[in-house]
Amino acid sequence: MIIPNKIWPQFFVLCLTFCFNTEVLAVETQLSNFKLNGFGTVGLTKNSDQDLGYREMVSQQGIFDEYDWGQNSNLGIQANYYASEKLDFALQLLAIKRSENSLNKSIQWAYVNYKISPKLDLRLGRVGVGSFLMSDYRHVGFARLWTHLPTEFYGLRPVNGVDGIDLKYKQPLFDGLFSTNMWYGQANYDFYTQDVSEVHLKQLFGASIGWENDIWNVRFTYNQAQTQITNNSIKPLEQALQKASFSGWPLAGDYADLTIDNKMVRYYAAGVSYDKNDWLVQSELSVVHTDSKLTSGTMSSYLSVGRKLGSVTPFISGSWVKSLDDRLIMPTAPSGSYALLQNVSQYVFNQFYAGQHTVSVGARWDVQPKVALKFQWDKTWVDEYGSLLLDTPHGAIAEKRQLDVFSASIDFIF
Amino acid sequence: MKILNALIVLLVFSYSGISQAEVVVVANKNNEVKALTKKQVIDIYMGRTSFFPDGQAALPIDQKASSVVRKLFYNQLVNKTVSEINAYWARLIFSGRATPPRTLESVTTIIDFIKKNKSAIAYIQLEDVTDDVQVINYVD
Repeated sequence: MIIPNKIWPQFFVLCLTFCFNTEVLAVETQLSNFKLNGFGTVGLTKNSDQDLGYREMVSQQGIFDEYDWGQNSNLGIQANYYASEKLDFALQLLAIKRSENSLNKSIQWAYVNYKISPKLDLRLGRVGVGSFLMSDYRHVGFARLWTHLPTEFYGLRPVNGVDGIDLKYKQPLFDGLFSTNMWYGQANYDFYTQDVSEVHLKQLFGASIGWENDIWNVRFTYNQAQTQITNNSIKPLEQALQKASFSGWPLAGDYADLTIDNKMVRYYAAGVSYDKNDWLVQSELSVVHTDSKLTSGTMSSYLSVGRKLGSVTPFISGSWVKSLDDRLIMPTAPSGSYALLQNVSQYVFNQFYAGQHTVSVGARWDVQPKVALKFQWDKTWVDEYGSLLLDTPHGAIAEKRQLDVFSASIDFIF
Repeated sequence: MKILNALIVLLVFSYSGISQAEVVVVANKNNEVKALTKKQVIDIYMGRTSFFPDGQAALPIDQKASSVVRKLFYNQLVNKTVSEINAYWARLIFSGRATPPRTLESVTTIIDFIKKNKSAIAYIQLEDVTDDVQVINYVD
């Protein structure tokens, strides 16, 4: 599942072959207790900007003014083994272009599920917990309307599985199904800023409550975790600010505690989807709060409306993200000897501010029962220095920018 | 003109006659469950429960992917196309939330499977029903 960059072209040819031979692909295993399923996407993305790199998630490297086949392409395989009516095992592997790859990162899920009762399930291992409406199938292009997830909402949340325990209870309620689950464990994700920082979420605890029927799906979730950052490049800056505060620039001390390491982060989210009379409407709202001075957190949301016209579903959506607090401004240095420190500090502060919104239009065409073609045009407005979600090799940009991102994909399941 | 109208009406009726071929839900003859509500059938086939209302395990069977009966069944049950059902199941399968119905290739295999499995439930055309299975009526 670890794909070196140079073999991506072969990978796409393989995926394309799969797409047009879905009947061949339908894996019918002879062992009735064993099931093999898969999904994949071959996606082409083009951004219009040379300085601000578009990416779906902060774990990825950005796409600049170029055509890219890597970012929105993937291939997933899932094996389920049903040992009994009460006990089953699942393993899902995902091949995707990552800024750093490893077998561990390729394992999406690996868990054992025990049905304690018809209403109560216990899962142990690496599990998908559904912190947001689409987070536990975020890489399955065929399962969604758009070519990619709304970047403003999902971009800062690249967490896949939680290594731990998940308890789920479901109960019929009115004409639908009420469900609630609770999880505890740890998770990891990468944050790419010219270098990969691994964000480790420890003591991760979360809970969700929801109700769904044929038309509605409503869900509220809460997550909290303690962060731990490897490759913490903020540390030397903190030390320099600390030093300056003792030697002639006391104000610098106020900014010496910038770390995002070992801080509490809390996620609150609400989501709703509606599917009736050929109308598909979906919206989510979330607030992420951290105890760090550098980034107090973000608020983000999206709303998407689609209309089925036979096998084609055009859609329009809007999404936005904004930092909870204004961008940090470093006070003016008392003398020229601190000018460099002031500039470096401000450069870092600028990198941690988010402010952008996007309007997208596109369509999904179900060409075959297991294959969909999609295209999408995103118009994104980025605020001054508001590019936390984007890849900024030259630092945040001091002016407002507009990006046009075009994407097309073939999504399939087997 | 009237004749033309009558012809069109006749064509529409005969066409809808074909597309509305009666699809029935069938189960093992020894299954104590004799009737289900439409909602209970939906819950079983859309992965919301893996149990019959009396608490015994339910093992739903799908006809093959290209089957017209499969298309009709889901259209009548939840008013969705096979593509929509596939996208729905992609969400459940790949998030590990539920297991889709097992697909069997032919009506003979389906009937044979139901005979051997007390917990099996399937849908077939009314004309394919044999003495080996019982029809489970379901209403809105």
